[in-house]
Amino acid sequence: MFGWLYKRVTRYYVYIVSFFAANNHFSKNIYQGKLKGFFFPGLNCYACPLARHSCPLGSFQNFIGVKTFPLYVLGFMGLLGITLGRLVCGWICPFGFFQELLYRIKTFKIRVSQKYSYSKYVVLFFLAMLLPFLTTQPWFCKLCPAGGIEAGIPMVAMHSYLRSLIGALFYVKITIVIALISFSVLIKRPFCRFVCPLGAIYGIFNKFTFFKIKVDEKKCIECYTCQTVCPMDVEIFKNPDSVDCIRCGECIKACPTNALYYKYGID
Amino acid sequence: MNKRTLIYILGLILFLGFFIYGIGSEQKTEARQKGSVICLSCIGIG
Repeated sequence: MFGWLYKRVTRYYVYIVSFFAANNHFSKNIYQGKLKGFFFPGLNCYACPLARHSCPLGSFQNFIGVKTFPLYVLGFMGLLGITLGRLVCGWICPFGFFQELLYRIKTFKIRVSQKYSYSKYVVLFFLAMLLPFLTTQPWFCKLCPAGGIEAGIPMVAMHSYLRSLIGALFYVKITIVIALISFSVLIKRPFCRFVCPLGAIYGIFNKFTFFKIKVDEKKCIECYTCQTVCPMDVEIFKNPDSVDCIRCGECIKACPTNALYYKYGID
Repeated sequence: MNKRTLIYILGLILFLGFFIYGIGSEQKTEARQKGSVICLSCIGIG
């Protein structure tokens, strides 16, 4: 019954440990200490009462909103991107983990073509860059389902003065959360593949990172096992540098001919 | 050193420079300040 858990226990363990390493402020009020000056690598809302670090995407929008070039955030994301590619999504981001767990629920599944995955760059440009620049508001945060789950629901539940401020936007956000949970049961990591602007930024670096997945073409029999087990549904043997590869290594574990392997360094 | 290696190293130095600048500048303080107040947008009420 728990066979899938044994197979994934290492990566799931890293997800859980990294979540609690960064989210351990057990209080009704949000953390305001020095660690908030540093970013959590994944999508982890800084309005969450547990969070000790800032969300890089939230800060990115705030800097753009005040017309400041976000050197600090870009430096942070660029360093992670060059050294690790999109590994953060596959090993650390709690929201990706949440979606993977939901997809384990046994029901019919829907496959969505990978060609739509570039939609996250549209989200990145409009909601995380253009609208914040024009309106000074972090528009992606307003609609972010991770913020809805980690901050919206708990903060509104714990603070009566916030409940009195609830308006249409909150209900829109909760609708997005419900839709995302429903889609995550049916589709592999839908938010990460089609929406997440942070994943979009890290994904750019998959072509330029030191941390790569390589395919031994002599060994590959094109059996599609790698795509079947891939949490992002990537045809990894065709495009190991895909912007959607989260370097989780599930394909490497599952490959029947050991044609896939990690490589760290410059080609 | 080939061209690809040079691009990787320059990229790494560039982002490291951005990051170190950010740590030493007001951007880190600003990030901390923004993260230390309740973000109404994140909660969905502002």
